[in-house]
Amino acid sequence: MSENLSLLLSGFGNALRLENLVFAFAGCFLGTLVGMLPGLGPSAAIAILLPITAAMDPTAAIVMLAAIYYGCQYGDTITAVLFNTPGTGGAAMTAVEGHMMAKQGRAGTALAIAAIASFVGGTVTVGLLAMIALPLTSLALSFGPPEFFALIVLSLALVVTLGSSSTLRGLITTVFGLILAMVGTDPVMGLPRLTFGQMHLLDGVAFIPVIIGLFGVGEILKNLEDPTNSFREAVVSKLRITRDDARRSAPAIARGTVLGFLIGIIPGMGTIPAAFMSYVTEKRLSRTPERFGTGMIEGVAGPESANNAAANGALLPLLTLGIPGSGVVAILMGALMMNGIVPGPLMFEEQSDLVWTLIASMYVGNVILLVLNLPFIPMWVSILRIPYSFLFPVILGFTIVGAYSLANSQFDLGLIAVFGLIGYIMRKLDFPLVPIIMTLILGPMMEGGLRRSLEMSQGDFTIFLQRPITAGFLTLAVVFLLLPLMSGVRRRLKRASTPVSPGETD
Amino acid sequence: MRHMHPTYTITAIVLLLVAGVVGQQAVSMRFYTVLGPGAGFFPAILAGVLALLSLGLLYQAIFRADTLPEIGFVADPLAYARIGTVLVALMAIAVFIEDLGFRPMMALFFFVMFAVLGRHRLVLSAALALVLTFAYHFFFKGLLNVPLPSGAFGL
Repeated sequence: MSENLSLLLSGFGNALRLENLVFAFAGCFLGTLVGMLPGLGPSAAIAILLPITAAMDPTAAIVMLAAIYYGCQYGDTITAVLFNTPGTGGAAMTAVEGHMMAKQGRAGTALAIAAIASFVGGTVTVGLLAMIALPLTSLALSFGPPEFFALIVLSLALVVTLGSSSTLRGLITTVFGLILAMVGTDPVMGLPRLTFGQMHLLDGVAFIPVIIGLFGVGEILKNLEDPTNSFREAVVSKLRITRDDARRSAPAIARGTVLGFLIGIIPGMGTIPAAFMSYVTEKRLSRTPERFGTGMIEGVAGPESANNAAANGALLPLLTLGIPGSGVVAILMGALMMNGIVPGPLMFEEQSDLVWTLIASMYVGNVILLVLNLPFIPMWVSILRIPYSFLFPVILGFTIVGAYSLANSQFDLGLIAVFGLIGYIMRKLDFPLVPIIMTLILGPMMEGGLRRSLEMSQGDFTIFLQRPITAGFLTLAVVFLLLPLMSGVRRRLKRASTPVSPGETD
Repeated sequence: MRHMHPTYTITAIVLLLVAGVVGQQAVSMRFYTVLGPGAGFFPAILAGVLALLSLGLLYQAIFRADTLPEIGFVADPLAYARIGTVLVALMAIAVFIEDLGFRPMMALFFFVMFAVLGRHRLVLSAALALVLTFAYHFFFKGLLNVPLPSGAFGL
């Protein structure tokens, strides 16, 4: 325990160096700026901004990435409260009560309590993360290739089932992403695979241009269907929290923090169910549930703390198992890998300096957001009044420089255009994007696990059933994938057994 | 009940083609070796699964179209013109940035974005394009030391 504390203190030493504080501030500022642009949620914001960190040394990059991560989450809240336009589902519940408060002239209070709730949710759960991560890492180190393969299958099954509106479309996206991950040179035999003679593809499909294309450009293309959006009427009142506001918010923040963290740990759950569950809990526990929907501060405080706590909870499987718990975390994982940091059980042993710097950076990012963002809110509002026709070219410029600068490759620039179009079409067809990002990262690990397992068993597939953890993970994966199918069959049977009234026969 | 869903039918057929191409590539590689699974092993499995899932989507699009979301795919033609402009501009940057250099290409890109997408006046678009180009160059090359292409004219 004392060893952890000294490592954490050394992480703070790194994160609090002046140059790193400047990067943390810049990350919070840029993250909030891009994260609050309607239509560009945290995933798109991190995708667009992460190439900036490529030119930095790993510590500075980590500090800035953590700050961008938090900045994006908070930026989303600003548009949710002021304009009722959440960039992600996580902030959607905040919008319900927060925007009503804004309409009553209490936007400042809603934003202030959202910032405090985010700070508490973020800070407390970073502490939990630091405490739980190490013991879980020891467990993960006992896993062999079959266990890792089964764990990845279970994670993908959870993402498909919980994060997609249709299991079939979620599965299609997952398999498509896995196929993309197979492009490149076969790791065992050294043969080019699915490269179609393209030299540029020998190293595989570059991760960063793909996510910039899918999330950044794809989102912009979708928004270009109606580029007249901009917000001109937002008025922010004083950022004042009364004693009554504080009394009502405190328990909601505490409940939201615990609930959010527990939900966030489960891969695929993410921030949306966490915020929703917190909102429902607050409504159920309230003495005046009928007043929810009219601007209840508990409805802002609870979901906001749950939102941030879940965002941190999703980091736990990343840091301990090397498996991202959500799409945003998958992008963050890509960014860490780009900076030479491989998240997973060995990270605490081999790169402990960087891990603890990352954890300390999260605290720092939270504090900077709280201290700096509240006075900046009027400035954010004035930025949001800039018409889209000015903002889009600026953001596209970032994506171009970002994609090119990583490998000085024209091919990567072409990739962002191609994947931008694919991302746009997928949005239109309601195919989830998150599985592609997760499989691009997890695909090679999954194939490696499968191949090594079969080498161990000399081609015998029953190896996956003979080991209890592996069999358990795979059974759970099958159950999760079959659940929507079973509930659909049950619904149809119920409908068939319900007698049809004469008026319904048409 | 709705009739066949054309958008998802086309999507399913495209995905089947993708599965076919991946499957063909996979079988041309070694499926299994004395050491264990070969390079084509996992891609072949994935191609098979994608083909099955695509057939599922095709079935849904033809026989159970009411369970799929309705999509207003063909919307405002101007919207598609805007989207097409961005994609063509991005491809143009990808093709010409190393030959013509970062600054001329970005200035042209920003000018097209402001003039065509934003419908701003040409003078304003040109001024904004120049300011942004030099700001980006200063920020990325000057401050962050990102290597940006100078092109044949050293720009």
